[in-house]
Amino acid sequence: MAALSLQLMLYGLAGVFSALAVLYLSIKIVVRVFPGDTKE
Amino acid sequence: MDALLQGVTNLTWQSFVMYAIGGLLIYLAVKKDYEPMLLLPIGFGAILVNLPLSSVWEFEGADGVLQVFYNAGILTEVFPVLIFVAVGAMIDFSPLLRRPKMLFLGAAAQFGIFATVFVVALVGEAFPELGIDLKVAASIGIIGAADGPTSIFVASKFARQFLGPISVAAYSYMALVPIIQPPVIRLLTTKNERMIRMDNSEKKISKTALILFPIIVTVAAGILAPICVPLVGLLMFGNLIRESGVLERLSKAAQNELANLVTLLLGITIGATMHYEKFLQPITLLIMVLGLAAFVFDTAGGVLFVKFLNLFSKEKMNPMIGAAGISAFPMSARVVQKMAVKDDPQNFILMPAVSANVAGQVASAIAGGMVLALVPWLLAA
Repeated sequence: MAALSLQLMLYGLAGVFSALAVLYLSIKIVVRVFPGDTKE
Repeated sequence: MDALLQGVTNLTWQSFVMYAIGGLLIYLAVKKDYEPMLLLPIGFGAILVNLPLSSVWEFEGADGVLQVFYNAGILTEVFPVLIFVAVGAMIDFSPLLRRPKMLFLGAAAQFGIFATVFVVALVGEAFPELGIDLKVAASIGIIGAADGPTSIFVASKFARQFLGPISVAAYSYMALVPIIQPPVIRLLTTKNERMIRMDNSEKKISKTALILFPIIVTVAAGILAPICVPLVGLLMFGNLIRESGVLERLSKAAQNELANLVTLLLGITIGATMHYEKFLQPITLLIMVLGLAAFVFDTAGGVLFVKFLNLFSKEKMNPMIGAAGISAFPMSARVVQKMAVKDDPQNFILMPAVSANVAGQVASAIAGGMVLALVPWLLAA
């Protein structure tokens, strides 16, 4: 079970970082395409 | 005569222990202001279900009122998911859109979930009589999401029998963030590191970007981790209602009426799972101890990740910001700001800390989805 939990850590963290990396890029694009001018 | 005395004759010493535990939770809620919205109903629910015959849970073969709530709201995941709608309507994600880099700090602060699963697995191997399997370990580890609904969501799928202690641990330690995090941060940082100043500028975010954000997050999370859609999707639905600007009434209803009603039912229903036969077991103690460890690992993961990033970046970040990557919003950001002012009264890092804290909200929901997806896959492999 310890080996499985290490695999869970590896895949889990990789999955969270990958998902958030996609979000990061998406936010960068959206904020650049729609620059702030209407809401503070 | 027996019928009249059945309340007295069915009392056990374990019931009194549970009344004391319920009373303690109510005391912490009322006197210490520790997550009163949850701990008070949980405490009272624990007392209710441990009264003789537990008629709120089951009576003469029929479901009692709290079991009806449990079946309708917990087993179906409706309560935690509705809480997510409310939370989404309450959160302003613009700090995250100003500093999207903070998403990675949110990811790093989920380390505690996985580190705790590993520790629980080791304990399970050392003490097989505890009956810990990977699903139970994952349910205990998810306390490290520092997010009550996510913990309930995962535990209700993997380890329903421990839902009570897991929820109590998750909400108690969230309330104790101001006590848990500072020693860990101090241990892992130098005074000079804690004095690092950060850019506090607040650039404007367009309304279009704020409206697109929840849609993009939902689609991205849905494609990358489909199982987390009930959590992330409903969180973002609440946020879309808020940011759309055309659903003011629904947004307010989600933030107030929905949040209050579901919190009330969720709390007392969770409390009702704390019958002494399930709660008074060695594993409850383990859950409480390792739940605390999860928060410590989270904090350490976030702080060490920032220190690691600082090795390569010209513009150094204050490592304390990493600790704010946990989902306990907004306590964690406040703790970090308070610590920064202690070392340097002019150091204002609240805004980046809030960004990291908001990132933690998204990251914890995604981490919950990852755990739900990966555990069955690993067990089947």
